[in-house]
Amino acid sequence: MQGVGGGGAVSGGGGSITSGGSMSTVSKEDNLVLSSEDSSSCPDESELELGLGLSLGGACRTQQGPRGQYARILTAKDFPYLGSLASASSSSSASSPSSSSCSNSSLSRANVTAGTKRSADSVAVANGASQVVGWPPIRAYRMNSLVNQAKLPAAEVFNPLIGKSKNSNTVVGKGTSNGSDKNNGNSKERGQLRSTLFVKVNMDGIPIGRKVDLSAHSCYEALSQKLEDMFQTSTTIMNSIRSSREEDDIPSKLLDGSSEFVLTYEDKDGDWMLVGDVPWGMFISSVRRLRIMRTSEANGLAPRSEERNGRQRTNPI
Amino acid sequence: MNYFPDEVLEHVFDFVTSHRDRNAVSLVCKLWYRVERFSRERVFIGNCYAISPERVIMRFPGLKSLTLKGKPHFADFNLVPHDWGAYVQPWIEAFAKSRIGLEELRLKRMLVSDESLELLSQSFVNFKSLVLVSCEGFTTDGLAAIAANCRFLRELDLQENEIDDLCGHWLSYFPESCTSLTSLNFACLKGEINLAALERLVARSPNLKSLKLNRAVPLEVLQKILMRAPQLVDLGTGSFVHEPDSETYNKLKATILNCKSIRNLSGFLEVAPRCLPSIYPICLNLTTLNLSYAAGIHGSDLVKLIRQCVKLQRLWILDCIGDKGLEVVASTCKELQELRVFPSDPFGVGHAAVTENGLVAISSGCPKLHSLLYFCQQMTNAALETVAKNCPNFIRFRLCILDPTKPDAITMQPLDEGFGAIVRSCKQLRRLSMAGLLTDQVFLYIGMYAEQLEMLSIAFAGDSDKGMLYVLNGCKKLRKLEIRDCPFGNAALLTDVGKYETMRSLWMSSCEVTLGGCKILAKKMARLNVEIINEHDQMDVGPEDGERVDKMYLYRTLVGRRKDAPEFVWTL
Repeated sequence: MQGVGGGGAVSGGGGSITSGGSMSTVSKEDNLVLSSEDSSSCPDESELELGLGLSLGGACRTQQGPRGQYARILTAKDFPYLGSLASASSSSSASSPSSSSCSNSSLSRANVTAGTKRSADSVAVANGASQVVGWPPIRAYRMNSLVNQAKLPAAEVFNPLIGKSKNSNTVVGKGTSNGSDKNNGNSKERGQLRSTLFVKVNMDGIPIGRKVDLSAHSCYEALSQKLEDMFQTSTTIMNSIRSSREEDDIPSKLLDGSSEFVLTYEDKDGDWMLVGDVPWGMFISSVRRLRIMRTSEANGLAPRSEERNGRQRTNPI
Repeated sequence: MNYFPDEVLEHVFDFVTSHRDRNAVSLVCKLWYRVERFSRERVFIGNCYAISPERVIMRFPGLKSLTLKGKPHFADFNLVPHDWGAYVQPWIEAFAKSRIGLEELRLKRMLVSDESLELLSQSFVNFKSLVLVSCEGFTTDGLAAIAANCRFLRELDLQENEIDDLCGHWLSYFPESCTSLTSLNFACLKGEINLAALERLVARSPNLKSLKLNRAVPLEVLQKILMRAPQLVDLGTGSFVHEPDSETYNKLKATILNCKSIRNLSGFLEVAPRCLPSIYPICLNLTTLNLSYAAGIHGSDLVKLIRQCVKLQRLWILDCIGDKGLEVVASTCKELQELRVFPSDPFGVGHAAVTENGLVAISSGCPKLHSLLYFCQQMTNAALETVAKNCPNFIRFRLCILDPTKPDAITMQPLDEGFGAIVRSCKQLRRLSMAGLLTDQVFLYIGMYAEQLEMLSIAFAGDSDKGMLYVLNGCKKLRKLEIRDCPFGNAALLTDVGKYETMRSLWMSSCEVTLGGCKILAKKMARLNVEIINEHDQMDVGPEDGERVDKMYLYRTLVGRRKDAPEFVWTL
C-alpha cells in the first residue's frame, strides 16, 4: 500500500505533493512544538485541576495558544495547503479533511473492486462522483464526523447489528477500505471483537519509549492528545532540568517554540510516513510503530542546521 | 412628516424587529433614518467585507447584537482555501475601542482566533451571548477565556465548528459565581471534557434551558445532569451507551420521566439502540429531533423511535431511514415543517438509501412541509410534480442527487420539468438548490416563476449562457447566486452588470468565465469586489486574459477592496 496520502486514485496534485512516500512527506512545513506546559498528564480529575493551577496559574491562559507555548503534535491535518493544492487537481476533497480526501479515492477503488453489479459506465460515473471536489455538498464538519464515526469501537460493542447492517458495513468499510476485501474483513472483525492494538511510541530525545493502544482512539486528534499526555511529563521534567542548567542553547529551545516535532509512523513496508495523511482506518491497518520526530531529522528540510548538533540525550526520567 | 416627537417614533420602531423592515424604515426620510439608527440594537451583516466595522459603529452607536457572515457558502464544501479571509479580529478590535456595549455576537463561516475570543471576553462587560457556526481557527483556550471573563454569560453555542481541542478544562474556567447560563452547546468538541466541572456548572445554572453535550460525556453523567436540570428544553446527548439492565440505565429512565420540558432532542453521537426506550417518554412532546449524527440508530430501532414523535415539526435524519422509514414519518409526523435527510454514505453510490418514493410519501403525509434538504440516489420528474402539487408552501427546497448529472431515473429525461413544477407551484420559494441532469429549460422556468427566489445554488447544470441569463433577468429578488461546473461564460456574466449591485454575492467556479471577462466587470463596477482565487498559478507567470478562471467570487461592497486578501486571491 502506498503510504502516500491518497494513493493511486489521487491525480497529479496529490501525487506531486506526497511523492516518495517516506521522509519527503515528513519534510513538510514546520512549527510544531510539543507542549511543555499543558497540565493534563493524568486522566484523574483532581490531578487535572491541580495541574491547571501549577502550570497555568491564572484565569486566562489563552494567550499561550498562538504564542507557541501551547502546542500539540502536528499531523497532516495541520497542513491545509497540502489539501488545497490537491483540490486544484480536483481529485479529492481538499484541506483539513485530508483523511476524507483519501477515503474518496480509496472508496472509488473499493467500489470498483467490490464487484457491484453495474455497467462500466455507471461505475465510471460513480468514480467521477466520488472524486469531484466538494461533492456531494455536505459541510466539511459533517463529512469529517461521518468518516470518524465509522470507527467507534464502543458503539459496535453494544450494537451487534452493526456488523450485519448494510449501511454500517459500508460506513465501516469506507474508513478502512484499502480497495481490498481483506482489509474490509479485518475492520469488521476489529469492530466486533474490540481487540487492542498496541504500538510502540518513541520520542526523539527521550530514551524510554511508551506504548499506546491505537484501537482506543477513533481519530487522529484523540491519538495526538493521548501522546501529548504521555510525553508531557517527560518534557516538563526535561524543561525544568534544562532551565535549571540555564542554557539558552539548544535543548530548551526544542520545546519552547523554536523547534519542531512531527508525528510519524512506520508502516508495514518499513517506510516512515507523516501521520494524518491517510484515513484513520487505513492508518490503523498499516501502522507498525510511532515516532515523535524532530523535523531536523526529516530528510532534506532541516530548518536550522545547528539543531542537529543540539540533539542531546537527557537523563532518564 | 414631523407629527410625532422622536420618542414616539422610537417607541413605534421598537415593534419593527426584522432587519429588512428596519432597513426600509430608515430609508423613509432623514428623521426616520436618524431615529432608527440610534434605536437599533441588532445589526445583521451578511457579508463581513461589504462594510467596515468603523462605519457600523458610527451609524449604530446603540448596537448590542452583531451577526456577521464571512466566507462564501461553498466554503462549507472545501471549495475555498482556509486562509481566504473572514477574520473576526478587526471587528472585535474596532468594537473594543469604541463605546459599543456589545452583548451578543453571532458568527458564521468566519476565522476566529483565541486572541479574538480573549479580546472579546475582556472588552464588553455585559457580554451575554456567543454563537459560532461553522467557524474555525480557535482552540479550547479561547473558550476558557470566554468562560472565565464573561461574568454574565448566558449563551455559548458552538455549532459544527472546527475547534482544536487542547484540553477539556476550559469548562472549569466558569467561575463559581457564574450562574446565568441559559444555553451551552459544545457538541462539536472532539476531546475529553472535565466532567465534574460540567456537573457543577449545570448544578449552579438554574436557568439552563439548552444543553448539548459532546461525545465525551457518558450516559452516567448525562443522568446526573438531567437530575440537576429537569427544566431543560433542548437536549443534545453525548454518548448514549450503556448496558440496558444496569442500575445507571434504570436511574436514567426514572430521571427522564421528570424532564417534562424537553422539546428538542439531538446528539446520540455514540448510541446503543437498546438504550433508546428510555427516551420514549420525551418523544411524545418533541418538536425537533436531530438524528443526523446518530449513525448508530437505524432499522427498526429508528422506526420505533419515530413512531413516538407525533408532534414533530423538524426532523434531521440520515438516509439509512430509507423510503420505508420516510413513509412512517409521513404517517406519524403530521405537523412536520422541516425535513433534512443527509447521506450516511456519501460515496457509496449504488446503495439505494432514499429515492423519489420517500419524498413523495413525505409530501403526501406532511402538507405543512416548507423546508427541505434531501440527499437521494435518484429522482423523477413525476415525483417532483407530485411533490409540487402536495406541498405548495415550500420556502426552501434543496435537492441533491448524489450523482450530480443523473437524469430522471425512469424516463431518462432531464429533470427540468420536475423543478419547473416546483417553482411554478411554490410561489413563496426563497431558496432553491437543484441537482441532476438539467438543461437551460429549467432556468427558463426559474426566471419565469420564481419571483421570490433569493438564493439559488446550481451545479453541473445548463447548456449555455442563456441559462444564467434567464435567472439574472427573471429573478428580481435574487440575492445570492452560486454556480459550479456549469457552461456559463462571459456573455452571461457581462450582460447585466448592474444586477450584481442588487445582490449580495455571486460565486462561479469551474465555469467558462475568463479572466478578461472578470476584468471588464471589475472595471465597470467600482462598487463590486471581483475576487479571483488562483491556487496554483505562479504569481510571475500570471494567467492570460483568455484563460478560464477557476474560482470567482464577487460581492457588492461600500469599502472597496479588502486589505487582508491572501496571495492567491486577486481583487481585480
